[in-house]
Amino acid sequence: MAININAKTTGVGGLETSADNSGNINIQSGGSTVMSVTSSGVAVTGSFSQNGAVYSTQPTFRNLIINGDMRIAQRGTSVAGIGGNGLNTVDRFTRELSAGGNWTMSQDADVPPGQGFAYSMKYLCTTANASLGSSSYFLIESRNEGQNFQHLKYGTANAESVTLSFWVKTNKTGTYTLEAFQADANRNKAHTYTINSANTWEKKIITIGGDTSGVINNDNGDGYRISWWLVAGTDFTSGTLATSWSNIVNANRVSSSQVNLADSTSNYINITGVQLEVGSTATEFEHLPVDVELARCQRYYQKIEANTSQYFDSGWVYTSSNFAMIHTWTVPMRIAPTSMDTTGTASDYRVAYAATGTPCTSIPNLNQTGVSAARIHFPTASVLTVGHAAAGFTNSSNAYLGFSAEL
Amino acid sequence: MKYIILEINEYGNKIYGRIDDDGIMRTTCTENHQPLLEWIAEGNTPEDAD
Repeated sequence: MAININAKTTGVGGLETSADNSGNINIQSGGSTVMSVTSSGVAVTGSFSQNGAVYSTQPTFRNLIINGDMRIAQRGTSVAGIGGNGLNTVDRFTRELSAGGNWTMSQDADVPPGQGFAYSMKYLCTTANASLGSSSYFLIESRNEGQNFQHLKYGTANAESVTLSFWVKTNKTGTYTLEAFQADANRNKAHTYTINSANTWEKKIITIGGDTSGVINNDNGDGYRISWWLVAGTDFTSGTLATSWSNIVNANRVSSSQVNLADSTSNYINITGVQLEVGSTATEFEHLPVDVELARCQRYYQKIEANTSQYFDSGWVYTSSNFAMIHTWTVPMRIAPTSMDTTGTASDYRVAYAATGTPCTSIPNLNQTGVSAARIHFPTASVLTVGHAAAGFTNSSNAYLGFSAEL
Repeated sequence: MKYIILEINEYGNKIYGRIDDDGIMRTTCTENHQPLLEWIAEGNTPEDAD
């Protein structure tokens, strides 16, 4: 109870009050509390405005998932023939896949209407596996750095609950498994959700309790994962589902009722609007500016592109047949990248020197890396002059260099 | 898919290339690249480049 000050919206109108000795005050409109003052602070229900400007009552950067709206897709928008682990198209969402069919992954324009999303992540089955082996699996994962999850206070009596919300659409109704996983402690907690209607966007909300026995290291390693299981053999379904935080046992990871999304070609799933936030309430999706979202993704993958007759970066001639290019990262990366992607066509890459240029004889290679910059070698015919300045460039319309520091 | 050793840089670090199943090398990597380490752990050995 509290002292209530209510502006009436019925009858003759006016102001009515009621009182007790709780020390609390409620400001009400039509009997509904819009502001409460208690010994612990002030709580506002609904929007908060100042001089006509409405402010969000939710903290910014509350979404612990990067690229939850699937807006950033540095690696491209569609890849076919996927049958194994990896990360394609939309940033920050990786995949574990073995004997779970073949798939096309895409950044898709199909989105839940009226929610402000432009893209979703889509997996479309192109080769089915209706008779799964016991070790078959396919799960989509969001892997997150442990240092960004310290405020969950895992491993203490104050371990926080988090709430995951996401939009999902698939042709296959039924039960699916959602798994939270602590990589440092090798502990997991499984939840199920139901797809009620085929080919219909549905919003799912799952609250994941805190783990008082958990461990999330305060480092840049893989600390907390959210996994959407789409395919699971009996190695993962034959036990008792781990609905409480537990040391991981493969047989307890997935519901025995789990749908096999790979059981027919043309099966598909779209997911977007993924948000993970502290507490037991799902708030509206936090739409970040595209430059902010891109920069956050570039901590894990950076792609430098060059169109016809454009430059990647500059450097020096290391040997007469090798140009060394130095490239400084747009934002510091999580770790020194360990791999570099190219088109696979050597002639897409060229070295500009003096007033001319020469094509590469092999694709550029990642020669040395750090968290701030990398040295990339461009192999050429023996036409360069050692010590001279030069630049990496292209005559292709789609050449790129992609650097990965993914979890 | 297989990995080959492209070169050893002046710091003694090996630079690898990944040859995809279609015979095309699209990716190069350092010796601590996790997929390379997993591939080696499966019993595979990188070949020297021609």
